[in-house]
Amino acid sequence: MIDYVQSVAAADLAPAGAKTAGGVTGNYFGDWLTQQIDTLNQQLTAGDMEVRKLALGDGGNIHEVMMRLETAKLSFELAVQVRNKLLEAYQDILRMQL
Amino acid sequence: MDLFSAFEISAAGMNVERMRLDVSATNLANANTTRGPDGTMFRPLQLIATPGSPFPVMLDRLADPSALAPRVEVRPVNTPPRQVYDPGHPDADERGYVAYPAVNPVSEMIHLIEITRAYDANVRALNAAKSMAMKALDIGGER
Amino acid sequence: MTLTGVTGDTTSMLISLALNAATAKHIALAQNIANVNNEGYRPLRVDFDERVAFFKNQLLDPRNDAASMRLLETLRSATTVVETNDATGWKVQLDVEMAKMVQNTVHYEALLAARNKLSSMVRVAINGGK
Repeated sequence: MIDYVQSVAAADLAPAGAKTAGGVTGNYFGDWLTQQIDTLNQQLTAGDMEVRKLALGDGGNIHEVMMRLETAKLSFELAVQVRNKLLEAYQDILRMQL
Repeated sequence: MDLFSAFEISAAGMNVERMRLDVSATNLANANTTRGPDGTMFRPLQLIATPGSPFPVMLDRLADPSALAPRVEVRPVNTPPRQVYDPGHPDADERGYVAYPAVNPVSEMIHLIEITRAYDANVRALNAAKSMAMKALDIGGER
Repeated sequence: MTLTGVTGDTTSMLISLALNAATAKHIALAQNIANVNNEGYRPLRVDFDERVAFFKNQLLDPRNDAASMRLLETLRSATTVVETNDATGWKVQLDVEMAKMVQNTVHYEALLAARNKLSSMVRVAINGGK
Protein backbone atom coordinates (compact mmCIF):
# COMPACT_ATOMS: atom_id res chain seq x y z
CA MET A 1 0.00 0.00 0.00
CA ILE A 2 2.77 2.38 0.96
CA ASP A 3 4.70 1.52 -2.16
CA TYR A 4 1.57 2.18 -4.15
CA VAL A 5 1.24 5.69 -2.77
CA GLN A 6 4.87 6.35 -3.52
CA SER A 7 4.47 5.27 -7.12
CA VAL A 8 1.63 7.76 -7.50
CA ALA A 9 3.88 10.43 -6.06
CA ALA A 10 6.66 9.55 -8.44
CA ALA A 11 4.43 9.87 -11.51
CA ASP A 12 5.13 13.16 -13.16
CA LEU A 13 1.91 15.08 -12.84
CA ALA A 14 3.20 18.08 -14.70
CA PRO A 15 2.16 18.28 -18.35
CA ALA A 16 5.06 18.70 -20.76
CA GLY A 17 4.37 22.35 -21.44
CA ALA A 18 4.29 23.39 -17.82
CA LYS A 19 8.04 23.63 -17.48
CA THR A 20 9.45 26.97 -18.55
CA ALA A 21 12.49 27.25 -20.77
CA GLY A 22 14.74 28.16 -17.84
CA GLY A 23 14.04 24.81 -16.18
CA VAL A 24 12.03 26.37 -13.36
CA THR A 25 8.95 24.36 -12.55
CA GLY A 26 5.87 26.39 -13.03
CA ASN A 27 3.51 23.61 -12.00
CA TYR A 28 2.56 24.63 -8.49
CA PHE A 29 -0.33 22.20 -8.23
CA GLY A 30 1.84 19.23 -9.15
CA ASP A 31 4.45 20.23 -6.57
CA TRP A 32 1.78 20.71 -3.96
CA LEU A 33 0.25 17.32 -4.71
CA THR A 34 3.61 15.56 -4.57
CA GLN A 35 4.30 17.19 -1.24
CA GLN A 36 0.90 16.20 0.13
CA ILE A 37 1.41 12.61 -0.96
CA ASP A 38 4.81 12.60 0.75
CA THR A 39 3.16 13.79 3.95
CA LEU A 40 0.48 11.13 3.61
CA ASN A 41 3.15 8.51 3.10
CA GLN A 42 4.92 9.63 6.27
CA GLN A 43 1.66 9.47 8.18
CA LEU A 44 0.98 5.95 6.96
CA THR A 45 4.47 4.77 7.87
CA ALA A 46 4.23 6.44 11.29
CA GLY A 47 0.88 4.73 11.91
CA ASP A 48 2.34 1.42 10.84
CA MET A 49 5.26 1.81 13.24
CA GLU A 50 2.93 2.77 16.11
CA VAL A 51 1.00 -0.44 15.55
CA ARG A 52 4.23 -2.43 15.54
CA LYS A 53 5.27 -0.80 18.81
CA LEU A 54 1.87 -1.70 20.27
CA ALA A 55 2.36 -5.30 19.17
CA LEU A 56 5.84 -5.31 20.73
CA GLY A 57 4.33 -4.34 24.06
CA ASP A 58 5.18 -0.65 24.40
CA GLY A 59 2.50 1.20 22.55
CA GLY A 60 2.65 4.17 24.87
CA ASN A 61 -0.79 5.67 24.95
CA ILE A 62 -3.44 3.69 23.14
CA HIS A 63 -5.39 6.82 22.23
CA GLU A 64 -2.30 8.28 20.55
CA VAL A 65 -1.96 5.15 18.43
CA MET A 66 -5.63 5.21 17.53
CA MET A 67 -5.62 8.91 16.72
CA ARG A 68 -2.52 8.60 14.57
CA LEU A 69 -4.10 5.70 12.68
CA GLU A 70 -7.34 7.61 12.26
CA THR A 71 -5.49 10.67 10.95
CA ALA A 72 -3.62 8.48 8.49
CA LYS A 73 -6.84 6.82 7.42
CA LEU A 74 -8.68 10.11 6.88
CA SER A 75 -5.73 11.58 4.96
CA PHE A 76 -5.66 8.50 2.81
CA GLU A 77 -9.39 8.70 2.09
CA LEU A 78 -8.99 12.36 1.19
CA ALA A 79 -6.12 11.52 -1.14
CA VAL A 80 -8.20 8.85 -2.85
CA GLN A 81 -11.08 11.30 -3.33
CA VAL A 82 -8.72 13.94 -4.76
CA ARG A 83 -7.40 11.32 -7.15
CA ASN A 84 -10.96 10.43 -8.20
CA LYS A 85 -11.77 14.09 -8.86
CA LEU A 86 -8.58 14.53 -10.90
CA LEU A 87 -9.43 11.47 -12.96
CA GLU A 88 -12.93 12.79 -13.52
CA ALA A 89 -11.59 16.15 -14.64
CA TYR A 90 -9.16 14.43 -16.98
CA GLN A 91 -11.96 12.39 -18.52
CA ASP A 92 -14.12 15.50 -18.90
CA ILE A 93 -11.33 17.18 -20.82
CA LEU A 94 -10.89 14.05 -22.92
CA ARG A 95 -14.55 14.13 -23.92
CA MET A 96 -14.43 17.82 -24.83
CA GLN A 97 -15.64 18.62 -28.38
CA LEU A 98 -13.12 20.50 -30.41
CA MET B 1 2.89 7.68 30.76
CA ASP B 2 0.92 4.94 29.19
CA LEU B 3 -2.27 3.29 30.25
CA PHE B 4 -0.61 -0.05 30.78
CA SER B 5 1.49 1.30 33.62
CA ALA B 6 -1.77 2.43 35.27
CA PHE B 7 -2.67 -1.24 35.63
CA GLU B 8 0.65 -2.08 37.23
CA ILE B 9 0.43 0.89 39.59
CA SER B 10 -3.04 -0.17 40.73
CA ALA B 11 -1.83 -3.74 41.20
CA ALA B 12 1.04 -2.45 43.35
CA GLY B 13 -1.44 -0.43 45.41
CA MET B 14 -3.60 -3.52 45.90
CA ASN B 15 -0.51 -5.44 46.99
CA VAL B 16 0.22 -2.87 49.70
CA GLU B 17 -3.37 -2.95 50.97
CA ARG B 18 -3.34 -6.74 51.08
CA MET B 19 -0.15 -6.64 53.13
CA ARG B 20 -1.75 -4.12 55.47
CA LEU B 21 -4.64 -6.51 55.90
CA ASP B 22 -2.19 -9.31 56.71
CA VAL B 23 -0.55 -7.10 59.32
CA SER B 24 -3.87 -6.12 60.91
CA ALA B 25 -5.06 -9.71 60.93
CA THR B 26 -1.79 -10.81 62.56
CA ASN B 27 -2.18 -8.13 65.23
CA LEU B 28 -5.76 -9.16 65.97
CA ALA B 29 -4.93 -12.86 65.96
CA ASN B 30 -2.14 -12.33 68.46
CA ALA B 31 -3.93 -9.82 70.66
CA ASN B 32 -4.46 -12.30 73.47
CA THR B 33 -1.21 -14.22 73.33
CA THR B 34 1.19 -13.96 76.19
CA ARG B 35 4.54 -15.43 75.35
CA GLY B 36 5.94 -17.10 72.25
CA PRO B 37 7.76 -20.45 72.21
CA ASP B 38 11.09 -18.67 72.69
CA GLY B 39 9.81 -16.73 75.71
CA THR B 40 9.47 -13.41 73.87
CA MET B 41 6.17 -11.62 73.54
CA PHE B 42 4.40 -10.71 70.32
CA ARG B 43 4.85 -7.06 69.45
CA PRO B 44 2.11 -5.40 67.41
CA LEU B 45 3.22 -4.87 63.82
CA GLN B 46 2.94 -1.75 61.79
CA LEU B 47 3.22 -1.37 58.03
CA ILE B 48 5.05 1.69 56.81
CA ALA B 49 4.50 2.48 53.13
CA THR B 50 6.69 5.16 51.57
CA PRO B 51 6.64 6.43 47.99
CA GLY B 52 8.89 4.49 45.62
CA SER B 53 10.73 7.65 44.62
CA PRO B 54 10.60 11.36 45.45
CA PHE B 55 7.70 13.18 43.82
CA PRO B 56 9.71 15.10 41.16
CA VAL B 57 11.35 11.83 40.08
CA MET B 58 7.89 10.22 39.92
CA LEU B 59 6.70 12.96 37.59
CA ASP B 60 9.72 12.44 35.35
CA ARG B 61 9.37 8.69 35.18
CA LEU B 62 5.63 8.21 34.92
CA ALA B 63 6.13 5.48 32.34
CA ASP B 64 8.20 3.33 34.68
CA PRO B 65 5.87 1.55 37.14
CA SER B 66 8.76 0.29 39.28
CA ALA B 67 9.55 3.90 40.21
CA LEU B 68 5.93 4.52 41.21
CA ALA B 69 5.13 1.48 43.34
CA PRO B 70 5.25 2.28 47.05
CA ARG B 71 8.02 0.80 49.18
CA VAL B 72 6.77 -1.23 52.10
CA GLU B 73 8.33 -2.03 55.44
CA VAL B 74 6.79 -3.97 58.32
CA ARG B 75 8.15 -3.21 61.76
CA PRO B 76 7.12 -3.95 65.31
CA VAL B 77 5.78 -1.11 67.45
CA ASN B 78 7.48 -0.36 70.74
CA THR B 79 4.44 0.29 72.87
CA PRO B 80 4.53 -1.08 76.42
CA PRO B 81 2.47 -4.25 76.85
CA ARG B 82 -0.99 -4.29 78.33
CA GLN B 83 -0.92 -5.46 82.00
CA VAL B 84 -3.85 -7.61 83.09
CA TYR B 85 -4.23 -8.75 86.71
CA ASP B 86 -4.62 -12.54 86.63
CA PRO B 87 -2.65 -14.22 89.43
CA GLY B 88 -3.77 -17.69 88.43
CA HIS B 89 -2.22 -17.43 84.96
CA PRO B 90 0.96 -19.47 84.46
CA ASP B 91 2.66 -16.46 82.81
CA ALA B 92 1.79 -14.02 85.62
CA ASP B 93 4.67 -12.11 87.20
CA GLU B 94 5.33 -11.95 90.94
CA ARG B 95 2.74 -9.17 91.38
CA GLY B 96 0.10 -11.29 89.62
CA TYR B 97 0.06 -9.31 86.34
CA VAL B 98 0.10 -10.94 82.89
CA ALA B 99 1.54 -8.93 79.97
CA TYR B 100 -0.39 -8.94 76.71
CA PRO B 101 0.65 -7.28 73.42
CA ALA B 102 -0.55 -3.69 73.12
CA VAL B 103 -3.02 -4.40 70.31
CA ASN B 104 -5.87 -1.95 70.20
CA PRO B 105 -8.90 -3.79 68.74
CA VAL B 106 -10.76 -0.54 68.03
CA SER B 107 -7.98 1.01 65.98
CA GLU B 108 -7.40 -2.31 64.22
CA MET B 109 -11.08 -2.37 63.22
CA ILE B 110 -10.79 1.15 61.86
CA HIS B 111 -7.69 0.02 59.99
CA LEU B 112 -9.69 -2.79 58.44
CA ILE B 113 -12.29 -0.33 57.16
CA GLU B 114 -9.56 1.92 55.79
CA ILE B 115 -7.86 -1.00 54.10
CA THR B 116 -11.09 -2.17 52.46
CA ARG B 117 -11.82 1.32 51.16
CA ALA B 118 -8.28 1.83 49.92
CA TYR B 119 -8.37 -1.54 48.15
CA ASP B 120 -11.71 -0.56 46.60
CA ALA B 121 -10.17 2.68 45.40
CA ASN B 122 -7.35 0.80 43.69
CA VAL B 123 -9.80 -1.54 41.97
CA ARG B 124 -11.81 1.48 40.79
CA ALA B 125 -8.67 3.17 39.48
CA LEU B 126 -7.86 0.01 37.54
CA ASN B 127 -11.40 -0.25 36.17
CA ALA B 128 -11.30 3.42 35.20
CA ALA B 129 -8.05 2.81 33.34
CA LYS B 130 -9.65 -0.15 31.58
CA SER B 131 -12.74 1.73 30.48
CA MET B 132 -10.60 4.67 29.34
CA ALA B 133 -8.50 2.31 27.25
CA MET B 134 -11.62 0.72 25.78
CA LYS B 135 -13.05 4.14 24.97
CA ALA B 136 -9.78 5.10 23.32
CA LEU B 137 -10.21 2.13 21.02
CA ASP B 138 -13.49 3.64 19.83
CA ILE B 139 -11.69 6.65 18.36
CA GLY B 140 -12.79 6.94 14.76
CA GLY B 141 -15.03 3.90 15.05
CA GLU B 142 -18.30 3.33 13.27
CA ARG B 143 -20.06 6.42 14.57
CA MET C 1 4.62 -4.55 -3.06
CA THR C 2 2.37 -5.95 -0.41
CA LEU C 3 -1.07 -4.97 0.71
CA THR C 4 -1.29 -4.29 4.41
CA GLY C 5 -3.74 -6.65 5.98
CA VAL C 6 -4.47 -8.64 2.84
CA THR C 7 -1.33 -10.68 2.39
CA GLY C 8 1.21 -11.22 5.13
CA ASP C 9 3.28 -8.09 5.53
CA THR C 10 5.46 -7.45 8.56
CA THR C 11 2.98 -5.38 10.54
CA SER C 12 0.06 -7.77 10.21
CA MET C 13 2.34 -10.73 10.86
CA LEU C 14 3.58 -8.98 14.01
CA ILE C 15 0.00 -8.26 15.07
CA SER C 16 -0.94 -11.88 14.52
CA LEU C 17 2.04 -13.03 16.61
CA ALA C 18 1.18 -10.57 19.37
CA LEU C 19 -2.43 -11.79 19.35
CA ASN C 20 -1.17 -15.36 19.66
CA ALA C 21 0.99 -14.30 22.58
CA ALA C 22 -1.98 -12.54 24.21
CA THR C 23 -4.04 -15.72 23.92
CA ALA C 24 -1.21 -17.75 25.43
CA LYS C 25 -0.91 -15.18 28.24
CA HIS C 26 -4.59 -15.50 28.94
CA ILE C 27 -4.29 -19.27 29.17
CA ALA C 28 -1.31 -18.94 31.53
CA LEU C 29 -3.15 -16.42 33.73
CA ALA C 30 -6.28 -18.59 33.83
CA GLN C 31 -4.12 -21.55 34.84
CA ASN C 32 -2.46 -19.48 37.57
CA ILE C 33 -5.81 -18.31 38.92
CA ALA C 34 -7.17 -21.86 38.88
CA ASN C 35 -4.18 -23.01 40.95
CA VAL C 36 -4.17 -20.08 43.36
CA ASN C 37 -4.61 -22.31 46.41
CA ASN C 38 -2.35 -25.05 45.16
CA GLU C 39 0.70 -25.44 47.41
CA GLY C 40 3.97 -25.64 45.49
CA TYR C 41 2.43 -24.57 42.18
CA ARG C 42 4.84 -22.70 39.94
CA PRO C 43 3.05 -19.86 38.12
CA LEU C 44 3.20 -19.88 34.33
CA ARG C 45 4.20 -16.99 32.12
CA VAL C 46 4.71 -16.36 28.41
CA ASP C 47 8.16 -15.45 27.15
CA PHE C 48 7.04 -13.59 24.00
CA ASP C 49 8.00 -10.11 25.23
CA GLU C 50 11.57 -11.10 26.15
CA ARG C 51 12.09 -12.88 22.86
CA VAL C 52 10.77 -10.04 20.78
CA ALA C 53 12.45 -7.26 22.82
CA PHE C 54 15.82 -8.44 21.53
CA PHE C 55 14.83 -7.70 17.91
CA LYS C 56 12.89 -4.51 18.63
CA ASN C 57 15.14 -2.16 16.66
CA GLN C 58 15.10 -4.37 13.61
CA LEU C 59 11.33 -4.82 13.68
CA LEU C 60 10.73 -1.07 14.00
CA ASP C 61 12.80 -0.26 10.92
CA PRO C 62 10.66 -0.43 7.77
CA ARG C 63 13.77 -0.75 5.58
CA ASN C 64 14.60 -4.32 6.58
CA ASP C 65 11.14 -5.78 6.28
CA ALA C 66 12.32 -8.86 4.39
CA ALA C 67 14.63 -9.87 7.25
CA SER C 68 11.89 -9.06 9.75
CA MET C 69 9.52 -11.41 7.96
CA ARG C 70 11.97 -14.30 8.23
CA LEU C 71 12.59 -13.44 11.86
CA LEU C 72 8.88 -13.43 12.68
CA GLU C 73 8.49 -16.76 10.91
CA THR C 74 11.01 -18.29 13.33
CA LEU C 75 9.47 -16.50 16.31
CA ARG C 76 6.06 -17.92 15.49
CA SER C 77 7.00 -21.39 16.68
CA ALA C 78 9.37 -20.21 19.42
CA THR C 79 6.90 -18.51 21.77
CA THR C 80 6.12 -20.82 24.66
CA VAL C 81 4.46 -20.91 28.04
CA VAL C 82 7.15 -21.41 30.69
CA GLU C 83 7.20 -21.88 34.44
CA THR C 84 8.42 -19.03 36.62
CA ASN C 85 12.02 -19.57 37.64
CA ASP C 86 12.69 -17.16 40.48
CA ALA C 87 11.43 -18.44 43.81
CA THR C 88 10.02 -15.02 44.77
CA GLY C 89 7.38 -15.28 42.08
CA TRP C 90 6.07 -18.60 43.24
CA LYS C 91 3.09 -17.40 45.18
CA VAL C 92 0.10 -16.58 42.97
CA GLN C 93 -1.62 -13.34 44.04
CA LEU C 94 -5.19 -13.32 42.83
CA ASP C 95 -5.52 -9.55 42.42
CA VAL C 96 -2.19 -9.21 40.62
CA GLU C 97 -3.21 -11.95 38.19
CA MET C 98 -6.57 -10.24 37.64
CA ALA C 99 -4.86 -6.91 36.96
CA LYS C 100 -2.59 -8.65 34.46
CA MET C 101 -5.60 -10.24 32.84
CA VAL C 102 -7.34 -6.88 32.44
CA GLN C 103 -4.17 -5.47 30.91
CA ASN C 104 -3.93 -8.42 28.56
CA THR C 105 -7.57 -8.02 27.49
CA VAL C 106 -7.05 -4.34 26.73
CA HIS C 107 -3.90 -5.15 24.78
CA TYR C 108 -5.75 -7.78 22.77
CA GLU C 109 -8.60 -5.40 21.98
CA ALA C 110 -6.14 -2.66 21.04
CA LEU C 111 -4.36 -4.97 18.61
CA LEU C 112 -7.64 -5.97 17.01
CA ALA C 113 -8.74 -2.34 16.73
CA ALA C 114 -5.43 -1.39 15.10
CA ARG C 115 -5.75 -4.33 12.72
CA ASN C 116 -9.26 -3.22 11.76
CA LYS C 117 -8.06 0.31 11.08
CA LEU C 118 -5.27 -0.93 8.83
CA SER C 119 -7.58 -3.19 6.86
CA SER C 120 -10.19 -0.48 6.49
CA MET C 121 -7.48 1.63 4.84
CA VAL C 122 -6.77 -1.19 2.42
CA ARG C 123 -10.49 -1.43 1.75
CA VAL C 124 -10.54 2.24 0.77
CA ALA C 125 -7.66 1.57 -1.61
CA ILE C 126 -9.38 -1.45 -3.15
CA ASN C 127 -12.73 0.29 -3.58
CA GLY C 128 -11.07 3.40 -4.95
CA GLY C 129 -12.88 5.58 -2.43
CA LYS C 130 -16.34 4.69 -3.77
